[in-house]
Amino acid sequence: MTDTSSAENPSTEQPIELEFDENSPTPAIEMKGVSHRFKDFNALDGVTFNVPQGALHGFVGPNGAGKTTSLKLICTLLKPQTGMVRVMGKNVLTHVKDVRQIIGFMPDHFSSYRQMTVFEYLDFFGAAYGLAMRRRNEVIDDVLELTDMAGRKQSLIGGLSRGMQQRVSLARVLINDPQLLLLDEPASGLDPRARIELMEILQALQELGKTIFISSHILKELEELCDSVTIIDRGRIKYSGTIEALRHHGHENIAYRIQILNGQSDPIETLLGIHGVVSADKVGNSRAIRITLDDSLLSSNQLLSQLIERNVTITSFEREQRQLNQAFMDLTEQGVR
Amino acid sequence: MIDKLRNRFSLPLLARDLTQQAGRRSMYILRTILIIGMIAWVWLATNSVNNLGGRTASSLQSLGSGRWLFQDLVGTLFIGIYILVPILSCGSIAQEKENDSLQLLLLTRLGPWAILLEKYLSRVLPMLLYLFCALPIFAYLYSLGGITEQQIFASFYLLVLAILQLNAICLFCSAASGKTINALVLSLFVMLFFYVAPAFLLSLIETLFSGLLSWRWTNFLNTVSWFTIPPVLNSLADENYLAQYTPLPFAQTPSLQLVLASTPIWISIVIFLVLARVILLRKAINKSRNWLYVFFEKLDGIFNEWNEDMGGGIVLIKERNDLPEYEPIAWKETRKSAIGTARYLFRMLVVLELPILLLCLVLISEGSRNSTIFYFFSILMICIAMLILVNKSTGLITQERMQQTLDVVLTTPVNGRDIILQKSRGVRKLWIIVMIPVLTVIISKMLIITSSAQFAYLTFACAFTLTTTWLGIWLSIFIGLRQKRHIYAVTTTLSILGIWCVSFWLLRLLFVFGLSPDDLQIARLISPLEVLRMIDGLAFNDLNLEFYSNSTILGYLVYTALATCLIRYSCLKQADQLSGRISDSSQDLKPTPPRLSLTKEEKPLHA
Repeated sequence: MTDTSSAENPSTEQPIELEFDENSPTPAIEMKGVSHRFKDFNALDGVTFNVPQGALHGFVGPNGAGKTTSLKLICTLLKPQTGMVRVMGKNVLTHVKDVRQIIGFMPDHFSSYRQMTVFEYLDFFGAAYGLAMRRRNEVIDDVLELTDMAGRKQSLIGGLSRGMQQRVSLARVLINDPQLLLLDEPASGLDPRARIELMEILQALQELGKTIFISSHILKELEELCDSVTIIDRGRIKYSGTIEALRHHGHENIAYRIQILNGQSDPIETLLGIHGVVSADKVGNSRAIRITLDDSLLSSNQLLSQLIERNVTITSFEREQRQLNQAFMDLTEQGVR
Repeated sequence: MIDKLRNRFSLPLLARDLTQQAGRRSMYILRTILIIGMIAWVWLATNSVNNLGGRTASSLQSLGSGRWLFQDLVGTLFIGIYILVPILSCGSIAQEKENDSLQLLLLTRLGPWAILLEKYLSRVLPMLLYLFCALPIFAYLYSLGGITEQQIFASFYLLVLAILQLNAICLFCSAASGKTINALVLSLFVMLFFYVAPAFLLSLIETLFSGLLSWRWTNFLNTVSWFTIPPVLNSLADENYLAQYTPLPFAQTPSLQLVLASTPIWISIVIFLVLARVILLRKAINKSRNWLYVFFEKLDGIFNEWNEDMGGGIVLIKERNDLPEYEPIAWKETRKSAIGTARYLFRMLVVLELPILLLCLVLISEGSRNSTIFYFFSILMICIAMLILVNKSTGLITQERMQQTLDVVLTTPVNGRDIILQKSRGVRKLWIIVMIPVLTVIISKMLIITSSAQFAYLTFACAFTLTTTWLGIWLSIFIGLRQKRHIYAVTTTLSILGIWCVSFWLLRLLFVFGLSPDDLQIARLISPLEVLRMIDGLAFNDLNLEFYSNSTILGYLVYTALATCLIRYSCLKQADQLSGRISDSSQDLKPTPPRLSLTKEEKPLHA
């Protein structure tokens, strides 16, 4: 495999005024100003984001936001109409074969040959990736072990459950030892157990050094699984970065949630009397109170000591974080386009 | 009260289907082509009538010219009906099954008969509407003279009957199949069997066992078998032959003669509708299975039983349980596809070849008087072979698309050209299998013709069969690459092949309007059916025709081979693009630069 950056047309390398860290290692996925249109429908409009190598990156967006189109562009099934897509530094337009060799794509539908056994299916794709015959058996055993399907090697795919078929798909994705895994809705249609097991496998794969780009609607699971996320809506990127940053993003003041002891009098007035507390509100009918601070005037330690000084007995104290689904709702627009 | 009545007699399924059909883009295109065709036809007809008697001729000389124009128009309408009806109607019930909506329909107040009849009418009415569009042309031709009101009535009546009958056949096949594509293939086979088999069998019985059936019975069965075919009945009515078949009380009234003669058609319509009703509920819940596969599965059981009983379980062809080496797609097509394995191909060969071989042996023993039967026999076998090959070849890519397995294959490093070439391996095996019965018929005919014509006949007939089917295969692959659904690919391919076959008759219409006989002779090489007829003519050693025929046949072979090479080249060249991925030979592609900057509103958050 050759490095592509020098071989490419200089005109394609023009800088774009977006926040890329020039010193960071080659991203696993790099999309710059990518637009794509299907007749009258603008599927992607100037999409730009990076996925660092070794990340488990979530890709979320409402239906019709452009997730599958982006994935198809990355895995060489679609040609970008404008902009540039690079995988491990290789342009998908000029290094198609190289890109195909280093990616593993799992579409949102279950696509397997039902008349084949698990082994035949994996051997078929091993051959398609040009894996030497003598090595294939060994590799198949490894991927089946990794996906916990070793006992089903000779089973017909058509006779497997949905969860098992999804594991076979994942094993197929791994057959060529790809550096980048592109998974489109891998957990859709799976029961909770199969879903949790799949997530565990993905975590194991990340530990093996794979970059995993996962498109999903199940935000709760993505939140637990991924370390970074890209939110897309109506063909435009709304957010791209770490989940941690997204949780705090949009909060001008730091928020804490405290739970006061039952039977204690309402401490709202007391709380508002503390210097640095911007607001204190009851959360519904519960005993919880949401406090926002001006962190330049008051730290969390100071807040706690002030509460003790004022005899406010609390049973819990936690920094409030925005959940991914809340961030998703804030960043995306209502309705389907 | 009115609302109640309206609800009771409302036809929701019919209304929905008619609205859906009216809104389809393909229907707009069809209607436009139809109207342009009719305008062009009238213009050409007027032109030819004006040229009939030269510049000085009076308009009286054009009187009577309506007759042959009318015959050509009715012939064209019959061809149109036989091409369009299966394409438009075979999905009527099968599509509901594909969408899993038939069971829901059966749960509503609509009974099976209501569903069937509404579906039937939803396909019949648009076709009748297209037919009514031709009525003004009928009136125009009537004004030219040469035809009677009776002839117009007879032709129109039989065109309507053809629509009703074909739709009933397609409805039955649609109810019997789980997929539209299966319904289409089945309806073509049923049509072939229903129209050709009775007459063919009767002539065979007459040839082989002359005297087995009494003259009265033979005559009666012959009449019934021909009278179930509307175009045949139309030509008999046109030539006033019906009177001799009609009982005396009706013999004086042509309209009654026709209605009486059309009874077999009406009976066949009712039979197919009842069959559709019987099969609708049985097949409504069953998951669709490939009927060919089911057929071979059953046959497999019988063969295994015979083998155990008679041969003690001899295995001639051992199924290889190997794995793909470096051509996985070819391996999948030849080892894992339903009709790709050697075992099934061998069985298919036995099923097709055995009866044909026996029949050919009997016909050869009868001598040269059977050469005409061989001609129809070879057409029939080529049609069956072509149907099987078109179905398989169009499905190479479309089936993968429909099963959603194509994307995964396309993300592997195997290039598009290799995918197509490896996939075509499965078709190549099938091609060899279906060619064997066709070649059996050709060789059998060669054995009964004069020895001086044997070599030319054998060479040309084999070359014709191979080049024509080869073209059919690559045309199917090309169309399959472009279409999303298998049914669309099959119907498009069959339509193109159908128009190609009748192209000479379409050109003959032009001849009526001024093409010279020499031009027309050259035009013969366009149509495979005409070329096959010429090859058949070689068997009779007609020296007058020989030189002319040889050059025409050679011309046909050359252009068919060239066209196939061109289509094949195009398929392989555009394989990546047509199958839906970036071409891996696109090193010269210049990626479009991204926009230099995004507006403030467009800037995403990057953390």
